[in-house]
Amino acid sequence: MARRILLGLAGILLVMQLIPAHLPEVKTANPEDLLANNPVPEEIAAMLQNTCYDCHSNETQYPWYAYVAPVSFLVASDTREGREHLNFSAWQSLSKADKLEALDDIGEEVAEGEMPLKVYPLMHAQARLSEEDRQALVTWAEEFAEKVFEE
Amino acid sequence: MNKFTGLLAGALLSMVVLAGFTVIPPTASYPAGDELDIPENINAIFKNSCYGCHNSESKNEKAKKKMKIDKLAGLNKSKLVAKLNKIVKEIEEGEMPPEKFAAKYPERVPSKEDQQALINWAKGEVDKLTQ
Ligand code: HEC
Ligand code: HEC
Repeated sequence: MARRILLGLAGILLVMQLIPAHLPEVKTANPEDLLANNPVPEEIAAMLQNTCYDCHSNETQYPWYAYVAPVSFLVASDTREGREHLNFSAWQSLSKADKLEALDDIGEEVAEGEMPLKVYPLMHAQARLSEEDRQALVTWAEEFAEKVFEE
Repeated sequence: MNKFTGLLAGALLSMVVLAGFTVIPPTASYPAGDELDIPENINAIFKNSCYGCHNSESKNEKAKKKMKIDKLAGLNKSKLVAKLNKIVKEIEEGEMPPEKFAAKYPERVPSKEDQQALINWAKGEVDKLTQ
């Protein structure tokens, strides 16, 4: 009996693999990228890349399980939605007001522990931010906003 | 359980665990100041539709944290632009006032004209600040 249920579940999982997840496309050439166009301190740039870029840029590095349903559906929707809300690959194309709004959002989301999405550091050890890391990101977002404002 | 079912069970369990990880739910009168000009008609819209949640004495902690209309003028200019830009988006997208509030107090939802006035005002202030 247990074996039948297991086989049934395995069957469902197998069939699920046939449904395309539509993982958002990866693009490596991004001339409008934030980091490519602005002097961002190294440790901040590394934090953004390690903790945000998978969902908030065109340079998503999909892990192997991103290709396995049903996880693929979740990764696809997080990446699609993440890019829609904020895409560091398109930074230079934002208006000054949109950049300032994004930086204000980044500070808020990081300070409140809303970002990165909680699931993400469970699977990505280098995305586990300490309190000091969060503070450093928040401070950077504020200082960078001042620079953007003066541009 | 033979070897095959054991393996299958292991595979299934790890799928379920992985999937589980990914579904964990990831959120008066206002001093205008030099930087911000809040005309009377805008003030009236704020008072009627927004101020109840977005003021420094508000009991709505979430709303208070995001924006305090009575403290807008005291923000540094880059934050002020960010908040004004957000007002434009929230109104354009019909996100504010929140749905529940709108359902309970339909008379407090700004009219189409008032929404447009609010958008034009916030855009104008953004332009003045970022020109
Ligand atoms: C696993 C994917 C994922 C990761 C990693 C991630 N985000 Fe997000 N982010 C999202 C999604 C999805 C949304 C939109 C839905 C929401 O707000 O929950 C979002 C929304 C945001 C917003 C809100 C934008 C708006 O329009 O209000 C900001 C700001 C943000 N993320 C910043 C960050 C920063 C900074 C990092 C890294 C420290 C990060 N995110 C990491 C998926 C992610
Ligand atoms: C019933 C209470 C309530 C009323 C009334 C209300 N808001 Fe909000 N507002 C909120 C809450 C709660 C949030 C935070 C939403 C969230 O984080 O998801 C918010 C968020 C916002 C934000 C986003 C700020 C940020 O930094 O992300 C803006 C802008 C905003 N409101 C503008 C307005 C305007 C303009 C009005 C009047 C037309 C208004 N609100 C009326 C409760 C309210």
